Amino acid sequence: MQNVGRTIGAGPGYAAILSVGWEPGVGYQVYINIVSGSSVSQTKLTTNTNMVIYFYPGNVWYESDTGVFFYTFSEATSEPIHIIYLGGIYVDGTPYWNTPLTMPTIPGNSIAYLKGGGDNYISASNIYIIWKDLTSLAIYYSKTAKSDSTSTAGPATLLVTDTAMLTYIPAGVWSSKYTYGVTLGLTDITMITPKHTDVTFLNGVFTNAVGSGLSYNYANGATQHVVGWPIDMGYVLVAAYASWWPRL
Amino acid sequence: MIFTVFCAYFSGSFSATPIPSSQADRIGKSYLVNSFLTTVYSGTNASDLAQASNTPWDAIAFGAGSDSSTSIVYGLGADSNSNLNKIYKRTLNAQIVAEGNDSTEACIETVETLLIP
Repeated sequence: MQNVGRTIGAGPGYAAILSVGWEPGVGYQVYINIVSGSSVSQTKLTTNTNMVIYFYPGNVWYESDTGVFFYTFSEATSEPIHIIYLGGIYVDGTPYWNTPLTMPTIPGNSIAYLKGGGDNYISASNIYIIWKDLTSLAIYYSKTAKSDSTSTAGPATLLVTDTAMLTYIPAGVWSSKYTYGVTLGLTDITMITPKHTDVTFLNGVFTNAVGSGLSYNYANGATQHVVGWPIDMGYVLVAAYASWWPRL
Repeated sequence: MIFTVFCAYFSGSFSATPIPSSQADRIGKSYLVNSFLTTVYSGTNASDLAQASNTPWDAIAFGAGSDSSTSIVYGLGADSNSNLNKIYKRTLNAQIVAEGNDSTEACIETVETLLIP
């Protein structure tokens, strides 16, 4: 049985949990559960009847001005052929797109670290999705116009590929008012002691990356997850690391 | 026990708290990497352990409350088939969180267990 997954995103007063569950005798399904106050509503996003199709949650994020939780997840068969989905749902359960948008990936290649986000904290114009192709060890991104009339996801574009010394994983797509970024966790083994940090491609410029300067002494690998949001001075960027430090 | 790792992450998510009035305090509050941690769940606390012992480390999220006086931490529970079946919701006092030294869970105002329909 698939190790069913889930991911959670939170907005002011709301939260949304994207979960994969086993429907006995039918197959795996994807659900989104919206928490509002003390109540939870659940919407089934898939109508899968194939027991060897698996789903993997990507992430969920909230756009406050539209009141929409956007989400990503992927579907895989045993071949494996992966399909990435981008969807949205208002907090009242109404879908943003009647059918989630799909992004083709390289046939036969497995993917992981699926993350998405808008290019502005409010009223994003575009949504960026990033993922890692585990066969080619390459990071891809897709840029899609954020509009309820959008019917086609943007094409997959190669961002960066691992080298013998540098290993990347998608950590997040974050945004403030004037700045947004696509951040990758980076492990650098150029030196004897591996360096675990991150690099960010800012404001849609994918030819130059900058480091955040964030690091963690007990890191067990590169930055796993990054979130950001605006403050009156600019933005806050928070990096999460896996730790080998078992307790405080 | 595992949640304390997330407390470290939470120490950076202070934008939901009142913004300090002085520039020095703003800078101080913006970089909380070396601050004390705020504990919102402890595996050494029996009542905490009874509520959410099966919440995996990657099933936690922090969010703003319905107004600036609160923040919320959500944890997810699963049944024996790993299907999502519960959401553990803790409403936090943003002012206490902003002080950055709560190791006794004093910031927790309410604890709720929400069932998936």
